[in-house]
Amino acid sequence: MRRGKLNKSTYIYLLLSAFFTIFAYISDQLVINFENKNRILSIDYDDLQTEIKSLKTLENNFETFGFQIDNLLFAQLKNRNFYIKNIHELDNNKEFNNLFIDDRSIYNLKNDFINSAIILISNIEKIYQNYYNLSYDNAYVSFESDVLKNFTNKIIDLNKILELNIDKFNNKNVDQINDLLENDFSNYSFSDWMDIRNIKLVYLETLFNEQNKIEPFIKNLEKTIEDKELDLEIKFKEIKSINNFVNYFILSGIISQILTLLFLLLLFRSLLSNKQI
Amino acid sequence: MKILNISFFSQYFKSSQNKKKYIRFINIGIFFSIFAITAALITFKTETTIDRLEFELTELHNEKKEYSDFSEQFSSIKKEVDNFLNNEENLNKLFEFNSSTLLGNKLITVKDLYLPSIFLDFQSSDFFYIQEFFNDEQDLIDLENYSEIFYEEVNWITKGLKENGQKILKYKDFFKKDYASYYAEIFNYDSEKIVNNKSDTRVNLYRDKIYDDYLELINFYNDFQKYIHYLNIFFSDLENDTVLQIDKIQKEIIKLSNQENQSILIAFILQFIVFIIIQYFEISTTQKELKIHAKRKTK
Repeated sequence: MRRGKLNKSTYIYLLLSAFFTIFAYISDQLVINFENKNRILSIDYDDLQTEIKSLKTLENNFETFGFQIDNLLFAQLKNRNFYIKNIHELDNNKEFNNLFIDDRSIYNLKNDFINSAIILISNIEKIYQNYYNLSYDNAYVSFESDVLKNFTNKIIDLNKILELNIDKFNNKNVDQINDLLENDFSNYSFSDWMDIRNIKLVYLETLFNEQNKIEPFIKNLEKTIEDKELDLEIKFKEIKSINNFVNYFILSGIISQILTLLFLLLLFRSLLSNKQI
Repeated sequence: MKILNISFFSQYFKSSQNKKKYIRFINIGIFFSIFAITAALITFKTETTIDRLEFELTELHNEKKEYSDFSEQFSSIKKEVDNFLNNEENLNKLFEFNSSTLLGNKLITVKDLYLPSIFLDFQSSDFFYIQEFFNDEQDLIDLENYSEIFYEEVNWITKGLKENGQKILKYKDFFKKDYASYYAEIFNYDSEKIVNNKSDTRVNLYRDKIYDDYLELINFYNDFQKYIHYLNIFFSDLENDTVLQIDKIQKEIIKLSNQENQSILIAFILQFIVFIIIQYFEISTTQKELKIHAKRKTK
């Protein structure tokens, strides 16, 4: 071997150093690349998570809203005929009249009848207020459909409900019907009392029908949440897998850099130990 | 053009009088490099295991959340059914008592008292969930089997799930009944039909098709409530078991992290010992060579 010429192992060390330097560089680049992907995916993941949270809140609100309507329907429909039957018996059955302690009891009964209609209207207004607050929700707005708009329009305007069902009343004017709840009832005829009873029933009927109409929307909402949760799971697995890759590439980069250093040191050692030097 | 002239280093070391000293420094460098590689490999191995465990941990956290959500839902359904049954019982008792008086007898009928509950249950949009429940019969059986696998024995919970599951399935045909025709009875605006309903019966006779169906509905809710109670316990147990698994994996991760530091320290000590031994032999070999070289020179 000529003086100063490098031997075979020196070349191998040199090549290995070069190889691991390139490998470390590739690993670094891959880490940067995967980190970029991860950042975009993480933003998507966070957005999706927030969206699901909003949709779930919306779903819960609808559930609460549904319970309110159900409770109202279950309680009110049971005594839908109770007062009117009392009035009918009072008008037509003397024996029935005698079963009451005094006139005050009869007055109270009639007063309760009217109050029950006023309380029902107040409960429907409370339901509507909750629903109205719900309509400010971003998730609701994004999901707003004709069905929901229709529902809001239907339950917001109680006079409109009366107007649409005017054929079911003896008084053929909405104001007259509303006045029945405010005027002195001592001279009310049976048909007036029937109208008071029917005010309650048309409101309950509208609530029942409209609630059933929005059910497909709630099912759609549930399905959307389910799909989005599945997407979230897929995204999470992707992020996790990318994170694993990033970790592996970081560690591979570190190991490659150390190996580069090691082979450089071995190269120097080989150069020093070379007896030809 | 040569970017890196290796010969330059050769010349540099050659000109140096402390070749032995440089080799010693390089050896220390090699020792640290090998140690660093060992440490990195140990970290690599540990991190891979921790990554796998962390993935399992996340999945377990998701499972726990799912079980917790189910448990919460069952608890909420149970409360609703409880409320419904209590309200029905209280209201019915009051009306039933009233209808046993001369006054109440004229005011409360079967269609007034019992029909709304059945109608609302059969005709409301929520009925879809009841139908869905009966359509997924296999789910109930799978759940029972899963509970047996989970508890690894037949205990009171698996028995409760099985018995009440079977009881509930018997109501399948009952929920096929059509109550849509009663819409006009519920939302009836005709005063004549209200006050003179010939087809309606007294409450206290307790022999009416609607009353029978109402009783069946109440029985269903009672059985359903019991079934939900067992489901709630089962899912709470699943949640608790997941918490234990999470705790176990968390401890394992901490243990692995501690082991990683210990392994690196042990690797350092072992490699340092090996390095000292190699250095000792290298120095003694060089010294021998130098002595032989010196002897040759004196000769």
